[in-house]
Amino acid sequence: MGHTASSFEELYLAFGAQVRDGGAVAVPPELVGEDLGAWFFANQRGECLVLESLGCGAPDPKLRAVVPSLVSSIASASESRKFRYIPQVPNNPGWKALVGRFPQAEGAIYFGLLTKAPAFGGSSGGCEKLGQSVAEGSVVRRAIFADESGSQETGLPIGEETGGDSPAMWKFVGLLLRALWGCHTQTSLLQTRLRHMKNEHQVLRASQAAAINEAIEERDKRLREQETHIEQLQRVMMLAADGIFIANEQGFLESFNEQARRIFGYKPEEVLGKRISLIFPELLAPTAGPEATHTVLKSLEGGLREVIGRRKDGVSIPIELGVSRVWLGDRWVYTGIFRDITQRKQSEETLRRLHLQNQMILDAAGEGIVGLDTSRRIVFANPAAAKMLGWPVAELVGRFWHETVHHTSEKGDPLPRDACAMCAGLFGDQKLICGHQTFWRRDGSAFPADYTVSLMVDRGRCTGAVVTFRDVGEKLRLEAHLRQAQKLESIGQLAVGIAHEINTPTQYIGDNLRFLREGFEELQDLLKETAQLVEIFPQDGPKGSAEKSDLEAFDSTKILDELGNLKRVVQATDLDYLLEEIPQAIQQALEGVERVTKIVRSMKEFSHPHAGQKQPFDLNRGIESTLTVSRNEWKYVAEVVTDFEPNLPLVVCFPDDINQMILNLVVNAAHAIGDKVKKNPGQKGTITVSTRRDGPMVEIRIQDTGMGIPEKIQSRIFEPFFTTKEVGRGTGQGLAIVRSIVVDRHGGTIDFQTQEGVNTTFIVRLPIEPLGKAPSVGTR
Amino acid sequence: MGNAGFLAAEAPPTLDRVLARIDEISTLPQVALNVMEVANDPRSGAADLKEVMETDAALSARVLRCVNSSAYGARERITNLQQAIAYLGLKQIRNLAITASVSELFRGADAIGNYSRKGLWRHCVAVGLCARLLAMRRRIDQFEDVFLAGLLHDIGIILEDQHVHGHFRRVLAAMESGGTFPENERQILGFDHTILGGRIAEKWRFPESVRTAIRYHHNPSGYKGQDLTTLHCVQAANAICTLKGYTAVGVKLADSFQEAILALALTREDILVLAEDLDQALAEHALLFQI
Repeated sequence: MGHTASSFEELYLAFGAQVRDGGAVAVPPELVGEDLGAWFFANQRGECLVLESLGCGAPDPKLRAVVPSLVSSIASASESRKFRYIPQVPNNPGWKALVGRFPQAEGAIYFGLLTKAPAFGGSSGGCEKLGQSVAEGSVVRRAIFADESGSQETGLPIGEETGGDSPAMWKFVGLLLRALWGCHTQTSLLQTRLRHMKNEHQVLRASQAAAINEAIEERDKRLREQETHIEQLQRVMMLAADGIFIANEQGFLESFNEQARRIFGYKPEEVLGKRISLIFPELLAPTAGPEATHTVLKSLEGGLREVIGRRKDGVSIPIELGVSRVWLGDRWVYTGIFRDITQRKQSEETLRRLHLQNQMILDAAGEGIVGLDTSRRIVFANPAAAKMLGWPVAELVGRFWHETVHHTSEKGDPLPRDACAMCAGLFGDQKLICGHQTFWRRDGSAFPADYTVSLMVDRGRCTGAVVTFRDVGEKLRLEAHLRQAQKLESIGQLAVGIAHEINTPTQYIGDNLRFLREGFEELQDLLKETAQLVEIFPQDGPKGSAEKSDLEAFDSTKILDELGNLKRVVQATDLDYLLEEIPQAIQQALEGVERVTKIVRSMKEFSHPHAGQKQPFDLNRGIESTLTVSRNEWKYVAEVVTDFEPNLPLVVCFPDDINQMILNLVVNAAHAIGDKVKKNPGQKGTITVSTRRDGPMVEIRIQDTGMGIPEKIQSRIFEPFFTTKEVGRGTGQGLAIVRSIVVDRHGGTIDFQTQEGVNTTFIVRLPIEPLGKAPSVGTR
Repeated sequence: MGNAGFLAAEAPPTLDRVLARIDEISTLPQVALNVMEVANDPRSGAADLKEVMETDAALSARVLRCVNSSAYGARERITNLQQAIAYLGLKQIRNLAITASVSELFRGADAIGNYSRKGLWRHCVAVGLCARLLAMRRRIDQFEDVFLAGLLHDIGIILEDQHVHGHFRRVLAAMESGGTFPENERQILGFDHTILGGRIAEKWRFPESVRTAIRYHHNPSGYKGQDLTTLHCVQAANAICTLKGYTAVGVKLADSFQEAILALALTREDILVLAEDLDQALAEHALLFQI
């Protein structure tokens, strides 16, 4: 509770300072003797307290108690600008004694109310404070002091004139003492302030120390955390799966982890502090200067590169190294992370060699090899393919296979994908496809090609296809030539026989004609005589008048003569003979011509080059002509029996080939029988040729009653160049050609049945209509 | 709120309503609340305070300006919070931050008679500084906490000014007829700034000692707790500042504080010296007034 104050004084008063107890006690002058002084103490209101009255008896004990705290410091008074005082110490014997009694006092003011002059005394201590050396005991005559505002000096002679109890003097005293009070409080305040400052200082220091401690602790904590963190990082680095080194800017190794040790074989202590040239001799020379080191290390920065490392045992190993430059807070270091790539390099080398091998194989292959992806684009082509197709390899890649190479049929019509046999089969179910198609070159020319497509399958999925192909144009041309040559050869071989065949009829045609000539010559005379006889009769007699009567007009002698001549000639001529023989001769001659004509026709038919296209063909007739043409080959050793199915449908085929085939088979049959007849002469064999229709096929059987085919060569008879005939008698191509014609060219079948020593039958089946150009089916 | 209708005799809002109103407007800047919380937490360190303060760049700048002023005698220029905290200590920087933040509340408005927000702010800062000085001179370790208590002890008054302005004016007018400020408050508002301030201090989670100072600085005998020392410091400072002319509401009337003096073992000289030194201290920290 307490009560409120509106001034400091009130405040002080409120809590009852000692001052309050004091009133003003003035010492009446009359009580003060000469040389007596009185110490006054005044409060702020100017009320005075007498402290001591020398010579007035014992000092007031109450007052005395206050004095120690009354430190009147003249010096501080002057500092506080309250007043300036120049003391003059009174020459008073009691002065010393008084001062002696208050040794704590820094100074004292002795205000002596002497009769004439009040005196102020300062102790030597107080005077010294002012920097004045004042002799002890000198009299203060004047007080010079500033008034309360501190701005003026007032020299006031004190009491000289006035003396006694004057209000002015007391006012002055009051002023002075007020000033003293100020001093006093100032000093004590100073002390208090000093104390306060010490306290402040202490407490601040303590607080700051606490703050500093806190800061230190926090920093320590952070450092510890950092250390832990660093430790962890170091552990990570040490145990990493790749080799790690750290080198400083001069290239000296500062850190080397476990894996690095394993790779290089060095223990860390053997390597730390050494230059990195120890393990990477190529990178940096051991004696390289800082400039060079810096350049090298800097150039390694960023990206991986392959370098050669050197192990402790001196072996060089390929290393993949990545270097980075790191700022560690106070300097730069280089961190290298690396791995041993020996294995990888070996694999790379192997791969490279394999690749090279593959490349060489592809390049060297004579066949065209082309790879397609699942969208049917060309992804690679070997040189042979490029050459055959007339494109540079680089331009082939990326193009669509079908549109580039078999966009048109062999007839010249555009061939869309869906109609293209190869495309139809591509990426279908079949893994392997063979076929034949027309391929077109870049320049617009074409060639026939045999191709094989095989699919590439990776883990069950189709990833592409490989097409190998061959230009069979040449082959086909050769084949055609060969066939033609063979045909001509056959014809050549048959020529002698045919010559024979033609010769015989030609002979008797000649004979018959010669007979006719003789006969005619004989008949000539007869005809002449007859003509003469007729001449007797005039040509133009009267019409219808040549009757009996007219007969008498003629000369009968002439007539009789002529008749007689005629009779003679008739008798000379063997007319009956001639009349019988001449028609016969004519008939035979005509037959002979017929014969020749037939042979010639057969030859024509046989050797007529049909266009290289399949055509509907009358098989029976073809067989007939072939038999005719080859007659000479078989007529001596066998009879030929034909058993043709009537109305056999026309077979779409290559007529030349079929004729060739029949010829070869018939000739073989004839030779087979020939061998038998040689052993058993006198007995002719039989060649039976029959044709039948069997569903979509026609069946041709050619049977001979020859030696048969021995078992051990039965599997070989169709082989090219295989022959059982002696040298000079056929080249062994016959059956091979037959098979080629039947199977390859016509899609038919050929088979044989044989009984050794008895007979052999060859059975050829041909499709009446060819089954499109369907590719033959390969194995799954 | 406005100045309108202060003569109207409408009933003043209840304390709870006023609190609710204050809540809506969330008067104290968030950063100040955060700083307070950081400072309260004994586990928090310089880094935490720095972090909180860095969210308000303007605040940090003002604090640094203060730190670099002659009041703190730094030899080199302090350029960041970390340095400041290292140099002056966590508590002092906290105090600067809160001072800077709270000053926002006192902006603007014209005077009402002898009262002005500016004057009230001066009073608060003066009491804070004085209380701190007092605590330091009595060798009390937590002198920085005492500063905060002194700074915030009259926060109730500014809140009344802001949120029940009309009635606040009536209270000021009533002062002419006599009576102390709290007495008039209670008469017209039904509560006084210590009660309002105390509730707000709770809400805003001021430190315990600050709450005590706010609540009991006019009624210390009602308090029985461990922050008595702080309370006494604030009391003494309040009286000294008021008598020196740094008044809260323009009335130079100070409670006497006998128990405080006794408890703090203050002598007259102590008070005298303090009163004298106060002017100088205020001059040194002049930046805080304009902060």
